[in-house]
Amino acid sequence: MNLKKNAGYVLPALGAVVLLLLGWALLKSSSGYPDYILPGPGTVWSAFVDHRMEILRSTWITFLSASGGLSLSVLFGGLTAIVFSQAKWIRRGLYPLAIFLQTVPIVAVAPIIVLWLEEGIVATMFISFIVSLFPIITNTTAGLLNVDNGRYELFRLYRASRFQRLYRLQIPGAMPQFVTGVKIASGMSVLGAVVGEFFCATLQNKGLGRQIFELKDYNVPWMYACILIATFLGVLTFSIVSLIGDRVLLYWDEKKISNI
Amino acid sequence: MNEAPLQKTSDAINLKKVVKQFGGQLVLDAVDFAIAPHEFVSLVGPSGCGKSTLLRLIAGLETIDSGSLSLPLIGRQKNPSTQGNQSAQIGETAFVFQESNLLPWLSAFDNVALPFRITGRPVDRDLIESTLDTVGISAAEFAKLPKHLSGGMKMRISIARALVLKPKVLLMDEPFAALDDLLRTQLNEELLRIWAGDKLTIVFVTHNISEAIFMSQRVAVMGADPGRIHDVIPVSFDYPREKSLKSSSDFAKCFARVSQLLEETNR
Repeated sequence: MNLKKNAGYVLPALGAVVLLLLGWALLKSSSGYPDYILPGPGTVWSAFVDHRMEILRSTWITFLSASGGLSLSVLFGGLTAIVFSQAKWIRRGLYPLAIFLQTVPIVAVAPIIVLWLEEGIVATMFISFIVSLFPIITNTTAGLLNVDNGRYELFRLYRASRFQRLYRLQIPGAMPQFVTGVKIASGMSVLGAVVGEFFCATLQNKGLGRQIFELKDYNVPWMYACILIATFLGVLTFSIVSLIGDRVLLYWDEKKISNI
Repeated sequence: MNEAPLQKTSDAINLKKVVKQFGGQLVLDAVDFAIAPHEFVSLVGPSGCGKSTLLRLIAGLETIDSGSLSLPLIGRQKNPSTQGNQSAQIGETAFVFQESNLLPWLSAFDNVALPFRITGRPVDRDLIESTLDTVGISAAEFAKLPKHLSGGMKMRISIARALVLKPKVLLMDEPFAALDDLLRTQLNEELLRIWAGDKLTIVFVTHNISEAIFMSQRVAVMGADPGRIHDVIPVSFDYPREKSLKSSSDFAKCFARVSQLLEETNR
């Protein structure tokens, strides 16, 4: 039963990947593009095998930046949402600032941040943090404010203090939406880390972003391998977060577990 | 009226000329009603007659606009100038909602422990377990989450949560409306048993005439536009009441009388 269920999840995804690879190979052979524009899947694979140690090291660096940025987002985003949930005037005052984080062109701001924080993992973590913060704030705030009316009245009946209501009703009640926010943020944290690395040129330990940036001029198949691995890292981070999140949500209503 | 002294009556609940408006619309118009200690009273009436509002006013979930509302049994006096009540009275009245309103992330046991935790009282494990037992939840169910329990069980736990602080007044807003007839009848009988044992004063809002007559000593028939108490019918059958009561001719007469009064209010 379980095997069948898992197969039901994996097989469609696997099929899509196979189709994509076939399409890629077909496009390569039919178009005749040179390898420095579009390398074929085989070429990229052998580039990956040849440079696997460098790629793995870069992946680890990027993973550290992304997970550091995401952790900061979870912490700071969760606390911000709690502050936001306390009063309408706080939301009205600070929400535009939060939206600013979402809309600021990160590629334009990243060099400034690198300049301020100096090139290194702190800067890339910070950029990853900025990029992944918004979904956590919005989702968690919505969750904290969306309290079931009957349960709210139950707390009023026993004259619960604001603080009791917050930590006995609102925070546990917001968990499903908080988890959704972290899931969205997890993919974005990898994106932020990669973008940040574009602007960290003097690093000894190069992340995937820096590798992609440098390789575009001399080893395109290797660059493609890095891009694919960066994508895979995003999927991996999302999967880890989903796994932990869904485990936590087992205690909540079954219907509330998001089926992303 | 605003300076009315604490009622020196033997009532559990006393309402005098209670008026309630929502956004300029009159929901309750000069309601006079007194409920004695350890009385079981049902409120029936068409939608919009303000029966739920009346219950929420007594619970302190809404505030009255004029008149006076007191609960002498627990030493509470309410009129528009003294809204809200003192902390000593928290837990003296309890409320059971139509929905069980359990917290989905807490076990049955912890849901019943919630009133202790919110009011900052030491959690009395023995009392919680005996209360759960009273409402028919077995020890095997204590650790279960609400999502693993049936609708009837959730409502039982909800009632246990209301009873656990040993209230003197229990207010119930259509608690069994979502349950099937068989379960409803069963819970009606169990509630009567709890009421008889605990010396509770119960105000019970329902749409179900048969349920109201079966359980109550008095049935207050309410009318709408604006909400008011149209008439109060005494129900004099002896307790404990058995299911067979419902098939007796006296019960049918009483049912017909309440139905007729409800019809009148709709005219």
